[in-house]
Amino acid sequence: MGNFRFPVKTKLPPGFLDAHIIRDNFKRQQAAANEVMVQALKYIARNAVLPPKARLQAQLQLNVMPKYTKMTQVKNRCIASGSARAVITDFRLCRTQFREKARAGELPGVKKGVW
Amino acid sequence: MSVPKARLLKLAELSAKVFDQNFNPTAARTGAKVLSRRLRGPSVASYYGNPDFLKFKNLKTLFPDTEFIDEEEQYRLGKVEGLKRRGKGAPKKTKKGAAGGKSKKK
Repeated sequence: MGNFRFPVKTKLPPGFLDAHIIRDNFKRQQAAANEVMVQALKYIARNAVLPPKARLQAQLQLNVMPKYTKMTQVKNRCIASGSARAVITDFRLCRTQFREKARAGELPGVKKGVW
Repeated sequence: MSVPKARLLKLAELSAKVFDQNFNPTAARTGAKVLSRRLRGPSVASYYGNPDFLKFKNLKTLFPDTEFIDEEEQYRLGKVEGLKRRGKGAPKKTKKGAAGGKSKKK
């Protein structure tokens, strides 16, 4: 195999794709895969009852782990356009895509408010 | 009537034991906050959907006898056809790339 864009090979998600979505998907997969490890290390590092040496080592190990293993790197993006702004979390769509899809009747139960 | 503090502490300890809670009267940092946090890996990982979801190109290999029509591809091909007819299609490929004037250095 040749070079892959990211350190770990990841399957591409279905639907709309652009560089941002591919990158965010990679981070999501890695953050999910390393979540237990990060949480265990954090627990050791934050536990004042444990010996300071163990805590320090855990913190160092946490610092050495790549950025993409952290949950804070994940960003909610619009699954239809890849936009990261004004994303409505419940629908995973940005506001414009939400409007268009709702108007086209593609979102069950969503209708225009009239009062 | 006042209840001694030691007794109240004991009560708190018992109550914590009964309800399966942490008993930490000195408020020492035990990292319980980190450990009791819910794991959100599965929901985070599946945000963009299942990567093994069936794609159009898989349909032909799954059902070789049936014919499927990809409407988007059809539309694109129609557009290309129209462009070609009007003489606005993609330029012809040059042999060995030798005739590429722009990319050539002098």
